[in-house]
Amino acid sequence: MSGDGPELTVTNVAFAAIPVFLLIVTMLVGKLKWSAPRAGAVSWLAAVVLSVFVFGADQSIVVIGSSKGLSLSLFVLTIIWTSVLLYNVIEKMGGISVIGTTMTRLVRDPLAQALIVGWAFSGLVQGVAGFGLPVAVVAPLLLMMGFSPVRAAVIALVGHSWAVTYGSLGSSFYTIQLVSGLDPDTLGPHMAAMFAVPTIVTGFAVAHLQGGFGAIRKGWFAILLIGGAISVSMWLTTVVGAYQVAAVVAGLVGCGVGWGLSRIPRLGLYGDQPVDLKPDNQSPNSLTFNLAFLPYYVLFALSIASQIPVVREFGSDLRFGLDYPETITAKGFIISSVEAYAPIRFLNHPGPLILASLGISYLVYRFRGVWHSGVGISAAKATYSQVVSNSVGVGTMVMMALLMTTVGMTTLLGEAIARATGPAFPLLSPYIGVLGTFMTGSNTNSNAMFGALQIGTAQALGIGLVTIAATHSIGASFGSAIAMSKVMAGTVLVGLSGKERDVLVKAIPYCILVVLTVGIQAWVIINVLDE
Amino acid sequence: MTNLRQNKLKQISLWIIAVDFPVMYLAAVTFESTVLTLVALAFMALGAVAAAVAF
Repeated sequence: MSGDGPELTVTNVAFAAIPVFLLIVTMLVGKLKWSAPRAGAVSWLAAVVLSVFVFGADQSIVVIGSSKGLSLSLFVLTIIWTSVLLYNVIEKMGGISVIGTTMTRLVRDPLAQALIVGWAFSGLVQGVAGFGLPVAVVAPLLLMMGFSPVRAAVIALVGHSWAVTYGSLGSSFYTIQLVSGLDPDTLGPHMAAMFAVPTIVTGFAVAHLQGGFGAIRKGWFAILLIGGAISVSMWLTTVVGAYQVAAVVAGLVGCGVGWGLSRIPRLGLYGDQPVDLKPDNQSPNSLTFNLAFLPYYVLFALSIASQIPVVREFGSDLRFGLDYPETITAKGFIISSVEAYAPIRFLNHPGPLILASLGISYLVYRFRGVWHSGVGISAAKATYSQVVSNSVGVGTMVMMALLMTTVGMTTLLGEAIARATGPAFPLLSPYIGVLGTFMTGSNTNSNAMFGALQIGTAQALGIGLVTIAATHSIGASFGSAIAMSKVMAGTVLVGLSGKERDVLVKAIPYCILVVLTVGIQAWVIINVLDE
Repeated sequence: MTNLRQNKLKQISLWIIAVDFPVMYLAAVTFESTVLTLVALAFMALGAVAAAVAF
């Protein structure tokens, strides 16, 4: 991919670090605390100036690098736009309330509620929607079940974090796969397998949050069974190539196993007191659970159908993707030409599949007479207002990341980090993922921003690219537990507005512990198993 | 800046980026025109400045 490129000197490394440093400083330090779109825009402008005056890029290379960033953004944003639209349509019809109420009626024991609703169900919501919605949906549910506000918010934050990479219908997974250039059929199952141990650790974290070490002693066997079921189902889903529904399937299986265990005495989750749901929390409309969940049923079916070899082969040419020529900077850094960069395949990409599931569900709703007039327009309006900030944030940050990659800045930073950390890099790697999510509130943004940097570092160290790419995204996924945008959403929804610090301080130790297991696991895979 | 103006500027920045994306590609890759490429880059910089001010 790269030729000679810029020389590895302290000055060049310092210049290459400026856009990333600017992004971090402006978002986190002091009174600045800029939003992601503002920090992304300023960082991209800095990357443009540095590309031209330090790294030997002409206007054509700057534009090609930025355009590649927008191609990748389009790939990711079409998933975000359509999944938020899907959620809004169901929400406007009262379906989210029906789904949530049904879930809470099925579970009685407080530990079971924390594990099934706060851990498995929040992962399911992340799988189908994401973007802070698990916290928005689950934290109020837990509050309604009798959890304290801080506990409800932190359980939702920590509990959903296992599902983020494969959540939002796979947008974060697709981003790390595209940024790293790795084969999805290799990266997907490898990453899912690496998710197993930290996912189970999040289950123990949720139990500890609910009832301290007593809850862990009470429910350890159930946690292992639920966590095992989540992990195996997620891995199997990635093995068949259905990445966009891996978290959804795992979340459903986790809910099912958890519910089954809650019916068996002596497994720590059995409860005999029915939950007292307030009447005003019940949906007034006529949607049943199955009708409310219909778009997701259809989406599962379409996602599975899209993986059938005949369909994949037929749809391989039905795609949109731009071709990019080879670029060579004045410093000799080369990026090879690429055909159909970040292609949107109309029969495989989650965006078109979500739209198709919405269309089919609309026809069924009309036929059953449960469609409310005006739902489509109001859902579309809500979606547009929700995605403006997110779209500009993703666009500018991914432009910055791809421009840095195109002119050799990312490779240079990778080489510098590799020299500085050496064999300890796998331990550090997931925390870089956490940093990205903490700053941007998004696993996807973290992957776009630092994914190439992690790959460049792994290449410089000569260690497993697949393991490091997976480690980064897994770290970024668990970093969602302390992402400021999600913390703020959680605190507002449980009536703790202005007390974000209370929630953050409680969530950080659990996040650090879970991510430590990710780093240790990566170190063992690379240094002991020699992967 | 009033909320209304800020909201408009947020949307303007999004639409500048969206519209300039194909222009950048055509200028740099399809036509390989230096002038068009510089103009497209200037518009993207304008969108970035609008985003930096609005968000």
